[in-house]
Amino acid sequence: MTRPSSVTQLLSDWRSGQPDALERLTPLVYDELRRLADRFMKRERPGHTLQATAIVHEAYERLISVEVPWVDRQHFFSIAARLMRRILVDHAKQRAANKRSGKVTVFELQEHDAEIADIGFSIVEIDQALSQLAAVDRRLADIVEVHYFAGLSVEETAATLEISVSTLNRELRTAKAWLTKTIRAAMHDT
Amino acid sequence: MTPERWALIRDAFHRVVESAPAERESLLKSVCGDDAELRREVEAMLASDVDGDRQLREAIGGAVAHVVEHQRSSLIGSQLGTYRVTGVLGHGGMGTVYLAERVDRQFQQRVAIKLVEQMAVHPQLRTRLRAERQILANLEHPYIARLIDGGESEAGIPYLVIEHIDGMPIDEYCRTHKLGIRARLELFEKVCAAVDHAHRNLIVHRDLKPANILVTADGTPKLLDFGIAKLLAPEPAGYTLAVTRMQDRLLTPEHAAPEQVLGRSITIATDVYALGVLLYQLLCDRSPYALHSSTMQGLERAICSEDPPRPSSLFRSGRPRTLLEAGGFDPQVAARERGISVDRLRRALAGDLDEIVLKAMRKEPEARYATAALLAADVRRHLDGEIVTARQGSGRYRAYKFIRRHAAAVTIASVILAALIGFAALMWTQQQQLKAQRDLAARERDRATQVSSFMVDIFSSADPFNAQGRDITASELLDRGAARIRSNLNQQPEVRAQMLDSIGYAYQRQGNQQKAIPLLEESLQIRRQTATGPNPLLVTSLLNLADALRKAGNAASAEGYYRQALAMSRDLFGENDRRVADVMVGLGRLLYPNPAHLGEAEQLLENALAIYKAKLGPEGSDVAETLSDLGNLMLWKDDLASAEQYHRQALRIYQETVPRTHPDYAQTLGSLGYELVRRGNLAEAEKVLNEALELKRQVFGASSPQLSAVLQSLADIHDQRGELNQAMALETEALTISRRSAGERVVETAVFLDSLARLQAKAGMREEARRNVLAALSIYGEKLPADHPYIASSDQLLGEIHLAAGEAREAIAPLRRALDICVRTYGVTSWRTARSQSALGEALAATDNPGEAEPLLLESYRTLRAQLGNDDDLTQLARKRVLKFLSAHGRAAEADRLLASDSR
Repeated sequence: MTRPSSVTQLLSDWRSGQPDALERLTPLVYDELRRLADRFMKRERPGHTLQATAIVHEAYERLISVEVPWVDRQHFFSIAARLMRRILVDHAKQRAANKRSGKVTVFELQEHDAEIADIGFSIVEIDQALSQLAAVDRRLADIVEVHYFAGLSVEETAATLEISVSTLNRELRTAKAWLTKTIRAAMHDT
Repeated sequence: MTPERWALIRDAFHRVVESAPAERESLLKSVCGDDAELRREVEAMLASDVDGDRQLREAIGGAVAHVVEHQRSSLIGSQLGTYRVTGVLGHGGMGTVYLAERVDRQFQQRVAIKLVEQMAVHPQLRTRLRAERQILANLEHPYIARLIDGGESEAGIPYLVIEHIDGMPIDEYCRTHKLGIRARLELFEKVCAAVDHAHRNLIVHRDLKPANILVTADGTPKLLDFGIAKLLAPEPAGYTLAVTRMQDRLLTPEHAAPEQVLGRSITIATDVYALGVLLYQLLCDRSPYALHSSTMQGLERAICSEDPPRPSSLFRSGRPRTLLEAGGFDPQVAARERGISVDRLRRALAGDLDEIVLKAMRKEPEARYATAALLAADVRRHLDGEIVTARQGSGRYRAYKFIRRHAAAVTIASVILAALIGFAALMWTQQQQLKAQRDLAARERDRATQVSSFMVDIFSSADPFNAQGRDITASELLDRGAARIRSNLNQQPEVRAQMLDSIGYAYQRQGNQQKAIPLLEESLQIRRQTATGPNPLLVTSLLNLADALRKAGNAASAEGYYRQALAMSRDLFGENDRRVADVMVGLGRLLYPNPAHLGEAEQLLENALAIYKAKLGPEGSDVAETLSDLGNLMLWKDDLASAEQYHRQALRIYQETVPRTHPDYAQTLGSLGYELVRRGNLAEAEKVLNEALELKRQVFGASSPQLSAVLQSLADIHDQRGELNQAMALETEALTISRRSAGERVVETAVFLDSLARLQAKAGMREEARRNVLAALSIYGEKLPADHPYIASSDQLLGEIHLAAGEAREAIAPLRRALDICVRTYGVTSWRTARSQSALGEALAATDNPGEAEPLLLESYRTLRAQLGNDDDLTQLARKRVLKFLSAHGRAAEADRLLASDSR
């Protein structure tokens, strides 16, 4: 069982410059996010990021003791957002691999492929576009990650990344436009 | 793409996207120049610049759903105990529910199996789960799905086997069958009955929502998922609380009560709230916070701070408003689907049903229906055409809610409000007696209008309802009120006097005596001019002014007003009236710091306490306050144990009866902290004082004089731990606050000067210490009678500072003054007297006056040993002085004898 204090401690260690703290921290948060995702209920509106939001916040509540410095909170949500992205992408790739090898359960096919048909973007495409963006503008990619994958609201994201709401909105608009453009282009290419 | 290139694209996009469409073309040209590639990029982005982020959100949300589903499907086909899992039924807060059937029977028995996945993480909870399972198994009710069995999976995850219900969620059932309002209400009554039954068995459901209430084909509701129900019994261990909170956070937020969102304690009122939400949904086909559910935070905020729209207000005729459309709710469609017109639906909901739903959904658990049965009873009353209880007292509720929402500001504001209401009532009574009804009634109306428009002015000039922004502080409210009075001289004298009195009183309570006194003086003056004889309003004015003067350290004037008020109130109300007790308390408070009047003060406070207890019951707030005063008085008697006892008694009452932010609670907490410091219980003291400090900051603001005393006690703790620097920092903060708020030359400030000097002397900062103690003495000389014990205390300190500096001659005068006061105040056997004697003896010995020195040194040493014991610092110091004296005069043998007698 993960001890709540250890995550808090590791965050603080990391902040004070111990590089291996992040390495030890990552699996803890990752496991917690996964575990929470596993038992997370289906929301009334399927496919809403509310689930991601709830999972990340839940992990925060579980892993972080009440009184952590603001800067550790920032770090936590940045890490959690990145890990959430990884969990989702890994799982999607795994699913795709299973499907190719015919290893898909009836349950999955029935319940969800209909949903997927509606969805414009795939998580893998978003991930790839986001990686491209990160290569030239790390900060903008972080903003997208924290807002969408950790599910923080605009206000919370702005506070977490210490920028104004108006700046954030402008940055998000840019990021969305660029990501949409890039994903659309990739879709046409294939 | 390079970062530099990206920066170019990004900046170009920023510039163009924020311009009007008509200007884009020319702007694109100027921004991109002949860089065609750049232009293509920016244009492609502009084409992708769509409102909203549905695609991103859905992709991410869908991916989350896949991760979640994947894990669940893996159990299908496996066996749990004697059951085989055949499918997934749904997902609840604690885990997944599977459909299963028994494998060891000939006939098929379908059951629902609920895997409590969370337990895997908290193995300690298993024992508890077993106990709860037993209780749930006994929960038999026609409208509750039965618990059949339970066990643990191979992976060690506990599961519950539950009666499988073939039905549909209650909201869906109502919609599909187009049930009318009456049928919906009757179904709801049954749900209430089931919940009430569970409550009687001490089980709270905690997650009531349509998905957990299935209705079978024959119309019987069945409640599911008492899986996270928790016994009302106390928590067995700390970790359970954390887990409980976590579980609650996993609830479907739309249905969560404010206390669940806030992680506060869950009671049957939580279920009553959820029933309210359910009723709302059944009546409106929409959830109460539908508009806020786009983010969890928004939703939680709404649940905790916003009132849901009244059910009837959703069904306005005419076009739906945009807000409602945004919630995806169209009243026309909703009504049409139920085969009823919007108008009829609205009329059916308006009134009773609105009130019933809103009462069940109050933010404060104690304001809801006390039980599910009472809620059902009100629904029944509505069905039977009787008057529902929810419609009674909703005005009072609104006032109550206002107060809860603006606790800090309102603590003060409500004082004004209460005074104004009391005033209006009193005026009304007086007018009635005069019987000149018509014209007086008109004048009265006029007066009431003046009062209320004044209140409205104060409150509305800033918007205290604005939940987003900072709440208006009490001080701002008062300053605004005071300014308005000064700028408006046209009020009737009675009204003006009342407002002056109310605001002055509020300032006084807030600790701002400099602002309080002139307002209260003016109020008293007006009332004296208009009153013809003894008059309750005059008593109030006298008392409020006396209180303010007392707090400002002007004891002489205060005593005069108190005695006038006491005599007048006894005349008016008799001996055993609350209002007499109020005056007694004030006078008692004024008198007890003066040892000569301590006896009288104790008597006054005891009398007041008896009156309050008789009139208000043992838990009245004035009872608590007076207990607290008696505690303070005991401090002056040096009876720390009694003081602690009184203060703890007072705190117990406060804890039961007022919110933590009540000023008197913080005040008493501060006093208790002080005693604990004095009694050496530093750990508890620090805890108590920090709480007091935090509360006082909240209630009074960061620069309130109320903080000074607490800061000083905290300084004491550091002092006792030998952390002089911290102690001095806190003491300096206390002094600064006192100077700013109470004033430069007032007794209170002098006390802090004295305390700071004491610490500085200890730290060897003699110059600063001497300067501060002299400043204190100068203030005391101005404000206090010449024989006040404060003066003795500071003179003593001054003497000691001189002694430490080797200025024995200068030490003599202040020490003589201190000794003189101590003998008269405390008597010859007091340790305080002995302390002065010892120091004076030392000073005299050093100035070649051994004859006078010797008896003082020996006498004081004996007294201190008897009063404080051998080990006390003061005894030790006195002994050192005696030994020094004896050896200086060649009397080593006597010194030896003295030492020998010590060890006996």
